[in-house]
Amino acid sequence: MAKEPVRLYCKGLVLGYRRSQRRQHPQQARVQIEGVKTRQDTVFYAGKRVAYVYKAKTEKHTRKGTLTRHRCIWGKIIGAHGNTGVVRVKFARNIPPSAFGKRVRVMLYPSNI
Amino acid sequence: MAFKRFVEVGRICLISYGRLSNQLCVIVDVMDQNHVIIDAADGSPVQRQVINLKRLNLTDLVVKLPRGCKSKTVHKVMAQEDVEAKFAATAWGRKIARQRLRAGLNDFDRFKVMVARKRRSYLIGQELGALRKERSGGA
Amino acid sequence: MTCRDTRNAKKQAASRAGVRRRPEYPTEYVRRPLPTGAKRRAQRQVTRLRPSLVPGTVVILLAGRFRGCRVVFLKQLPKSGLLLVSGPLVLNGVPLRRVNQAYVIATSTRVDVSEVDVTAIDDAWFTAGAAKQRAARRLQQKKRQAEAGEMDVDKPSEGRPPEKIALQKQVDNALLVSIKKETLLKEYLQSRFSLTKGQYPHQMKF
Repeated sequence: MAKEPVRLYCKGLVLGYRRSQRRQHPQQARVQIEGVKTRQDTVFYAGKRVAYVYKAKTEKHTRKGTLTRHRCIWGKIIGAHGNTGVVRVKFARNIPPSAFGKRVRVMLYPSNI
Repeated sequence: MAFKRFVEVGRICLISYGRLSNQLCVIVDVMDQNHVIIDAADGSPVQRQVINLKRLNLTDLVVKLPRGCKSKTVHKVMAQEDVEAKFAATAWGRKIARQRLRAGLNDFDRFKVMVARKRRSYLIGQELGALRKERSGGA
Repeated sequence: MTCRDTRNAKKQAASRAGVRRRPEYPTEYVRRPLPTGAKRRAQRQVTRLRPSLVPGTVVILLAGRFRGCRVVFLKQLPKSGLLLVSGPLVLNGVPLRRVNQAYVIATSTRVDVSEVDVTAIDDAWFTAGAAKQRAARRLQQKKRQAEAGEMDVDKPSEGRPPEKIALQKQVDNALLVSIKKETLLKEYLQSRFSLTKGQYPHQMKF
């Protein structure tokens, strides 16, 4: 796939699930967004859509009818996690642990600017 | 070259941390190894306070102040010495002013800057090309 | 006998004797059905727009085919509440189009749109003939499949009815007059928005 001409998303990093010392909450993933350093900064990103785009072995049909190896799990930012700008994201399907340490795209919509 | 930027009464500093970062202030008294009392010019958001030296950046500017003087005196001296303008004239001051300006630009302004930058590098490239040609022609 | 048993026994005795029980809950409450979707929409009238969205605002499209394009917001469509935008088409290829306000960034740049007449455009303007277009497209697709290999993907534009093209031109011309008044504004609308390294939207002003 050719690189998109414009980047309209922020780069995010999947840190892991929301968890305590002995418990995990795979329904919620923690994501660090580039340049977001404080809890106040995360307010801007609340509710924004997140896409985990990855490549798989098997080709699947897209809506257009073409075949592609790329797949995507969509999610939504549901709030801040701690005070250092990390956010919690709920994905439509729980994100696999293989996604930890991987890039996600934090979209600019739904926009409120 | 001897070291000249000392922590001393009357030293003009920049706050480097938090809400007041990039604000000018002046040292009024030195508490201990790590802490000083600062004050600022009239109308500045900086209030007289004790601050950790880790949160201060020292500038080259110094004003004459009696140690531990009142805010009123500080305001007077800062206005007299025109510290703000003096700092704004330094390279550091200009840099901060530029950063502030850039941060306040809207999307259209950013586009205009981009166009101007392109134009500049085009002109530089042309000039450079001409010089190169000249040189290789001469050699 | 527990307390509750006593109470039940008393109740039973009362009903046997034909004494009406005092109602335990007030009966004045009249069930009124909640307004359904369409009705509620009618009540609400118009979707409220963000204050930053004023006719003439240059907006950045965030998703879809034209993502990243800077276009001019002309007016809000009363029925659907969507934004009517135009590229203008001659500048960046974005036609008169409806977009949801959630998918745009409103910039602080404004274009004078007082001379632009878009009264003729409403939601129906977009949907009229849509079915026909869709059928035509499908037909074309079939044809393409039959030909297999000869790809001409960008053909559907030929199905655009002439009156729409005319209106687009009229709107664009009016827009261009005010766009040309400001230096670089034309180039600005022609360019695409993109985030670059070190640009964080929460710190940026638009």
